Amino acid sequence: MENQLNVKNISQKAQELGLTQTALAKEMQVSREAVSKWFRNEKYPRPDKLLKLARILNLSFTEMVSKVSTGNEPIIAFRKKGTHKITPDYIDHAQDMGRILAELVPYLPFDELSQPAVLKAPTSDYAYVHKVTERIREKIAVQVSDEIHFESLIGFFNDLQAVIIPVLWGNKENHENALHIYLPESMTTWIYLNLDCRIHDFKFWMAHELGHIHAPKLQGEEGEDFAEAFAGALLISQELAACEYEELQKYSNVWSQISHIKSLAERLVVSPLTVYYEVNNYALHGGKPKIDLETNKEIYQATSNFNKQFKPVDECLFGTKSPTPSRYIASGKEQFGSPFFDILKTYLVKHHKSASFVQSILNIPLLDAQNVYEELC
Amino acid sequence: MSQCRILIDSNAYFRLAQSIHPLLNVVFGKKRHCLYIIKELQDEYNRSPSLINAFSWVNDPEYVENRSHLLEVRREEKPEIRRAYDFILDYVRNVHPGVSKVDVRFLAHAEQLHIPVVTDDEEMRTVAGEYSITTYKTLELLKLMLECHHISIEKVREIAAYLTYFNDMPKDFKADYEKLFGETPPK
Repeated sequence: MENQLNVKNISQKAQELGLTQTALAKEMQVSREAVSKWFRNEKYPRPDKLLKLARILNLSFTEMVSKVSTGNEPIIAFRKKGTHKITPDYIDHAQDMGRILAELVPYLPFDELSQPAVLKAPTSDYAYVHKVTERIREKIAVQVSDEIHFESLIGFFNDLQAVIIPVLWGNKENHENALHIYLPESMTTWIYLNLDCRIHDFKFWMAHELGHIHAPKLQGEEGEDFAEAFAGALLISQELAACEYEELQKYSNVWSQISHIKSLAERLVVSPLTVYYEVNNYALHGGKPKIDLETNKEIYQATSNFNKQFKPVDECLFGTKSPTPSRYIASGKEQFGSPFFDILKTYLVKHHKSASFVQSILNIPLLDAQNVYEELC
Repeated sequence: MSQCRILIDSNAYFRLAQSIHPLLNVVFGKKRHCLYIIKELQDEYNRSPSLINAFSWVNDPEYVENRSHLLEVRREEKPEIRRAYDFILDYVRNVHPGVSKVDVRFLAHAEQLHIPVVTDDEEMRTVAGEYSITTYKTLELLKLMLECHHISIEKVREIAAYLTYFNDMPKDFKADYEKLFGETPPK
């Protein structure tokens, strides 16, 4: 967004108050020419003058300044979860983070001349999504019934020039475990991944974000639906879902079915819910009856108990929930192959930035930011 | 006689409040200087497990009591502070995205009330400069307190040693210390 004075509002207000441009200039201790240029939108006032003008005319920021779209605003994607509402404040904040990330773009080690390939005309159609994910499995030589490893997912992020930013945001619910920011001007993608996340959900979050990267043109609900379908299909192939559907039919009771799902979930390092949903997506696509494990919320209860047996990602990576800054920073490169901390360091040093920049870009408390800053600089 | 109020930002407060107690709401010097915080400091602290962990003393009764004397803002000043906040926030978002919303709140209060802010944050100091807000670094505040006989040079050295020990020195700490106090900072 670009700021422009709302000339109509300020002219009208000045007139109401009986203030000519000359009188305004005198009161503001600037030249008559400067005021004239503001009123013709040829020049935008300095920050202190803008505030002073607003006070003289008694205008609020929104009355005084129009935001003109440049088409280059950061595009934010959140994973939907249930009916949870994302507040405008949260989106504003994410866009602020996007603007900060834009400062790092010149330091990215990516090819400036070409962009990685993305899907031509992505849709959330079951058959289409499985065709896409089948090709991805072939590319990394993973059999239909095998696990997609974290390393493979990370490899895709790097191949697609998406910058992973591992963060320690504490135990979050809903959409706050991952934040996807696309900067149209530089055509760069940045993905915050919260490491304080259940390990069996983490892979799904990563796959979901990978879905967004494959389909950058799909935004809003459409983008979320595609990313969700992509993640499920990538982690549980159609063939495996078909096979599991048949297997589950053989069990006579819900708890045996759940037990079978849990074994598969553990083997694939995904949530039992992911398996359950994918099996039923397969059934729905083939016009077969749904396997119902939620009449008494059994599958949700079982998933909750299942998750309790495993440590969150940060504890798996660092052996503690509070890693030292050096271990945390090292994980960016070593575990996620991300250039983020290297370019952040270069930027901080070159531009003499303080810890508050780290605080804003990582959205972490100042004290944690200071520790990261000291480690980097 | 009215006070010469000074705002102290969160970071500077956490650096000093345990060593100089009570830090806030104590008048010092002929000009009747007096330090204040804004209520958002407590919100920032409450939201941050790491701040709570590092500065566990902050919620001890004597510090809570001292912080209860907040900067007094008259009813008619509130909308002007809000207005300043909106303008400064937009400027910060576009030009200095590293400055936090709590920092902007400090600056908005300082701008409207014409009072200086103690901060060691370079970007915050730059933004303050755009709005003609006076800023002091932590060491400059200590110098002022020393000149007003509010604290002794031993106290200054003790604080400097503490910051050095915890590797929590603000930018240009050594050079500033030497310039202001005419000696090398203690280790």
